[in-house]
Amino acid sequence: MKFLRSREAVLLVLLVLLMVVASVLEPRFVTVRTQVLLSSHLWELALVAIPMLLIIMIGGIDLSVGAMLALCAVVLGLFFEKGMNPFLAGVIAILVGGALGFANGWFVAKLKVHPLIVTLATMAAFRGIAEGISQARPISGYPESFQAISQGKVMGVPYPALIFLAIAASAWFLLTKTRRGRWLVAIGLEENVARFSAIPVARVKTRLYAFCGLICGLAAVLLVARNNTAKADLGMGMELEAITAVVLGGASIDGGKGKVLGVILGLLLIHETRQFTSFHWKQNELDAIVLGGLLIVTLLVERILSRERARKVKQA
Amino acid sequence: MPLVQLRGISKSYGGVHALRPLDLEIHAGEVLAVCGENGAGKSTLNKVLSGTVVPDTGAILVDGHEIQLGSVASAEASGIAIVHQESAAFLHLSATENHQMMREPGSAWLDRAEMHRRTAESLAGVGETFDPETPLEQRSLAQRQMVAIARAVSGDCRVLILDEPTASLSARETQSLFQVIQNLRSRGVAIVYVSHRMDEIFELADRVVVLRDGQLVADKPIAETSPDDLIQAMVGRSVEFEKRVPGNLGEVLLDVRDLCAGPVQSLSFQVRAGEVVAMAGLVGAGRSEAARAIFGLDSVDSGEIRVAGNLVKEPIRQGLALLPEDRQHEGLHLAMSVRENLMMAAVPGQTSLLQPNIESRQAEEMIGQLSIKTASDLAAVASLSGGNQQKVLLGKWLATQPKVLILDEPTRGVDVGAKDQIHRLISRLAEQGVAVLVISSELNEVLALADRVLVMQQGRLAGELSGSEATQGKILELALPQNAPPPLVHRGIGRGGSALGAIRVLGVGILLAAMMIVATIINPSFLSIENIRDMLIGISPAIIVGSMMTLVILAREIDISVGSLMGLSAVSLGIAVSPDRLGLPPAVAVGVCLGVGVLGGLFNGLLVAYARIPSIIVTLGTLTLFSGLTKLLMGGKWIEGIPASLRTLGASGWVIPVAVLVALLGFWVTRRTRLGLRIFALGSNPDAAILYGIKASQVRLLLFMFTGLAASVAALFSATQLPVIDAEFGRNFELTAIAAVIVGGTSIRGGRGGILGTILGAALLGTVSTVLIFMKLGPAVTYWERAIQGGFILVAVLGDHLGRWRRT
Repeated sequence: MKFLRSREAVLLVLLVLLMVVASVLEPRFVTVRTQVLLSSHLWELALVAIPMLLIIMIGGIDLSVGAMLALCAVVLGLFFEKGMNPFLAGVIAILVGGALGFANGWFVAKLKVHPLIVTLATMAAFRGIAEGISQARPISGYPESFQAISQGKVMGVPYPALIFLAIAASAWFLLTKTRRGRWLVAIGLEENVARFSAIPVARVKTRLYAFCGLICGLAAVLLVARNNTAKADLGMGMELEAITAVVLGGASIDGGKGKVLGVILGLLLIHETRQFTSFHWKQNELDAIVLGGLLIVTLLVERILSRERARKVKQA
Repeated sequence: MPLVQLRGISKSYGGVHALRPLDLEIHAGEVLAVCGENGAGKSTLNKVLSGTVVPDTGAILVDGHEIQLGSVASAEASGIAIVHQESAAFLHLSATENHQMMREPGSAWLDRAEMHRRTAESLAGVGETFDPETPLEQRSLAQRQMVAIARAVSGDCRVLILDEPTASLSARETQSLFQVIQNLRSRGVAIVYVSHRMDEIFELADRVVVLRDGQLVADKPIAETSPDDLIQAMVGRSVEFEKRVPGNLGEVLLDVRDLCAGPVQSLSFQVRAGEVVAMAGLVGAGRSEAARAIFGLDSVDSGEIRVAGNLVKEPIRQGLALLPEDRQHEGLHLAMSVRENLMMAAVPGQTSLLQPNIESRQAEEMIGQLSIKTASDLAAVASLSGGNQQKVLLGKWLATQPKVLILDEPTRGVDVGAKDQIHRLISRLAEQGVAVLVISSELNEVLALADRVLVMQQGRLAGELSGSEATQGKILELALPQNAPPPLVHRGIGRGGSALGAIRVLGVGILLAAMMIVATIINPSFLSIENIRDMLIGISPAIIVGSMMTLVILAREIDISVGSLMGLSAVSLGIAVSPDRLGLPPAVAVGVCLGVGVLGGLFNGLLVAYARIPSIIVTLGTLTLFSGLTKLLMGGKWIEGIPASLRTLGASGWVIPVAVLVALLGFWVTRRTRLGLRIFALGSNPDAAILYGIKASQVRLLLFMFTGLAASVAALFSATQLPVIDAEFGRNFELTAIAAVIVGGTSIRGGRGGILGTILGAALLGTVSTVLIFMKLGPAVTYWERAIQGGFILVAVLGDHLGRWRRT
């Protein structure tokens, strides 16, 4: 009974409804083959949504994820262009991502600047550096062995899906089974109490932002391998998509509340809605409207529901 | 007839009765003392009387006429004024602005000279002569209090409510406050005086009422009662704390030497195993600050802290525990379970994986040991009573098995039974060899528990008394400052005039001048009329949007949808006017463009102001939504064929006077209008803004509409400069606008900053891009522009941090 009233249940119902409508309008859309094919568009965003969940849970935010991804991709491309082994360049790109994320974390945790301002600034700075060092041109021509990172499969499951599942499972384990996971909730609910409980708040923050950077680097490698090109405009708007997935998944933007399962369902809802609109209407313009609309409507409904609940408690 | 009658007033919050139906009469020219324990309903009574809270039932009559409930304006019109606790001041605003808030003379424009005159006159009436134009944060606590009192009694005040007015005043300041109260009483003003302090109540009051659990349990003339009577009425039975018998002392476990940290000055003391040392002093004497520094939460300027002979590196592991004073904001996670709270601080032997079975057993043990009343160890702490919450807090720190236990106000806000239990527990811990330091403002608690009493005064150790020689009188004698404490001075970016604000604006100005000199050296044509005109046209949109963004950020909100709203406005303009599309007359198209801006702003504003969704999330959503609409309207094509009449709008430089106008408007709003004052108040202290009766939702809605309109104005002038309008128009412009505001020194936390800084910020960013072009680095350099904007924000933020760090 409790599950039925949870956010996960709402998302699941919406998802099922969407798929039912889709199967009537576009029977070809609801087939395993189409779904697996279309799923390739999901994994980079899905990966980034996981650290975004953790950051939002401690009451933070990271607007720079798309820009970090672009900069990592460009770094990979430039090293490859200089003749480096693409796999080694990929490893460097991931480390660069970690360093970028660490810089965010340092500003947020050590200088105590609002994460919104820090990551708004680094969003511009990282994207600008990516454009500057690459002169905004695409870098293509990766060997097949490298492209296989995104296309290879184990028993029909693409590599990126496996990587995502591993990271999502780790995040779930962290949040539900470990003391550090409890720290995240404690920091998000009331940071000051966490500090008075001798939880190393600054260290936790720095590490989370750095982790977010690492994952953006990883997503950049997957994206470059999938598109066979690295360009400074990759991941544009990804911050919004990731935040939307997290908030749709039931996490509180004020921190302290959030579930990995909710985020996964939120991701699926965004993904399927968007794939279906472009499958059915054959245009991408509706994307942004659907995405922005979903975010606003979900929050609005939630506010109204919680007000209703507060009113009922008052009457009782 | 009584001046004010309360009839059957009751109020409950989520099932908890803060006030049960209550009748009370207040007479002209009397001082009515209201006392009661924390949570007895005193502050709810104040809020109902002053109109900030609507009671569930009942009525208030003034002179026999019923007044409207839950309206600050109505209460004030009937002559009921309240002096809020110190936390309800707007520290970034001047004394004049605080004093005149919501009662400014004249119309929507502010008459600053008249405001100043009224404030100075009113302050003189309570014996204060300081300059009321400096920000309140540069004033002492006592002066802030006097501003609030002067505000309350100015005008036609007939009932004055004072809520713990002496909590942070020195003895001398308290006496001058009493003088003010006596004067008011002799003028026939009724005073409602809320206080814990028995000596004050008996010095001042004519009548006293006692609240307990939201009920009026006593109402007596002061001559017919005694302090013991009142305490008995407050707690429901007589209180006599048992005096602790000192045990055997062991080795020194806590050794503090020459500790300097913030207000704490060269503090040295020791606590031995088995000893209970109390630290007494007034609020603000530096006791909690000392405790935080010892526990490693605040930075230590100098000095040594040793636990069992070792310097403190990992406080908990070395056996140091600090039980903070503020249960809600420092002590416990109220939303989390009893078990999670008990196990929150590192318990010895804890593993990094959660072990629910072990934790459950440990939590159950602690619940039994401290006799915590809770439904289960999984119940949320918020569902427990205050006393039981306090026991959970104790349990949280006992679970760490401390050698040295520092307790900051361990019995604040708990009932007498729980108080007694906590006292016994402290004694038992001392017997087991724990070194205990108790910080307490309750003198009878200090006397009952302490083997030794340390008395703090203004950050220094004023004296030490042994448990046998200590009396209330001796402690107070040491604790009371002989002179008024020096005014607290916090520096910050204030409104225009104050120190760092001016430094910041000056700094950006100097940097701007330096940039211009460099540019002129590189290429003398930088100073040509054509180039200056081009530059002004270039930065004008940033000034237009940035000016309104400044207002939004000053009010502690943000709008990141402006860029995409500019795109939507521009595309609407193009579609309306383009002969390929609707082909409407240019004037109509301009109307469409501006209308789209206002509507977009209205949409943002409604969601922020009335649905109370954080503005960052709302505008993140609308950013996407607007850009999606833009793409949909474009249908994948460019918009061409803007008629010549509109093209001249962009090309002729009309945008420059428009930008000047918008900036002046913004400047004028921040400095000269009531709206501006409300904006600063909201950004400075949103909670206090509500207490003053400021209509926050209206202000927010208006600001987002202004910003939407500004976005469309900027779009109108810059889109018409272009041969075609594409879907990229306006993209990332929010960044330019926010960069100008932040670089210009406006604080992202609201309440500080101004338009002037934003203009300089926009000019600086504009000059930098021109300089880059002048350096003739080729087209390559344009790709770096965004990196430079982001870098500027980071440098500004870093500069503020270094500035703060150097001053402290």
